[in-house]
Amino acid sequence: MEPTSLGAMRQYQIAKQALSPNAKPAEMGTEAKGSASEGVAESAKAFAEVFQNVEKTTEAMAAGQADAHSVVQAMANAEVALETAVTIRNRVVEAYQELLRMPV
Amino acid sequence: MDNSISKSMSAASSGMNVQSFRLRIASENLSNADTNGYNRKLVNFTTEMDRVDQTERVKIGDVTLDQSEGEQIYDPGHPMANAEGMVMSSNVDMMIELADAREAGRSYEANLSTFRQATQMYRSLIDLLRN
Repeated sequence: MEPTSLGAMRQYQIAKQALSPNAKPAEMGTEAKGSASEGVAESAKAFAEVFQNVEKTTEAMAAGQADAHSVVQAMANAEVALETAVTIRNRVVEAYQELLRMPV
Repeated sequence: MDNSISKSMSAASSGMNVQSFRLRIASENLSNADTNGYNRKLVNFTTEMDRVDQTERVKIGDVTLDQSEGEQIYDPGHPMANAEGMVMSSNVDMMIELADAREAGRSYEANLSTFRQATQMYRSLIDLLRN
C-alpha cells in the first residue's frame, strides 16, 4: 500500500463500495436528506404545539375554565419536551464538533 | 401519538381532578352538617374514554342526594317544624364525611405518585440519551 494521497483516495473508494455495494450514491443521498429534514420539521411542529397547549391551558385556568391539574400536566409535558429537544440539540452539536475535530 | 408515559400522566391528572372534587363535596357536606333538612351529597365516578389519545380517564358523574331520613328533633318553635313539632336535622354523619375526605386525600396522593413516577421515567430516559 503506497502512503500517498492518491493511494488513500483509492482505498477510500474501495471501502465505500464495500460498504454500499448496490446503492446509487446520488439518489440515496437526496432521499435520505429529504426524509431526515422532514422528520425534523415535523418534530419541531409537534414541539411548538406542546408549548401552545401550555399557553392555552394557562389562559383557560386564569379565566377559570381549566383546573390546576391540567396546567401542571401541560407544564410537565412541555418540560419533558424541552429537555428532549435540548438533549438532542446537544448531541447534534457534539457530533458536528467531533467532525470538525477530525484530523484530515 | 402512542406515548404511554404521557397517557399515564393524563390519566393521573384526571384522577387528581376527580379526587379534589370529592374533597369539595365532603367539605360541603361537613359545613352543612348542622343545616336542618340538608341531604348529604354523594359523588359518582364514571370512566371516560378519550377518543383522541385512547386513554381511559375517570370523570365526575352525577352528584346525587342521600335520601335517608335525618334525625328528628322536637322543637315546636322552629319555623321548619311540622305538625307534631318535629324538625328534621341533616343526614350528615361527620365521621363518614371525615373518612371520605381522608380517602380522597389518599387517592389524590396515589395519583400524584403515578404522575411523579411517569415524569421520573421520562427524565431517566432523557438522561440515557444525554450521556
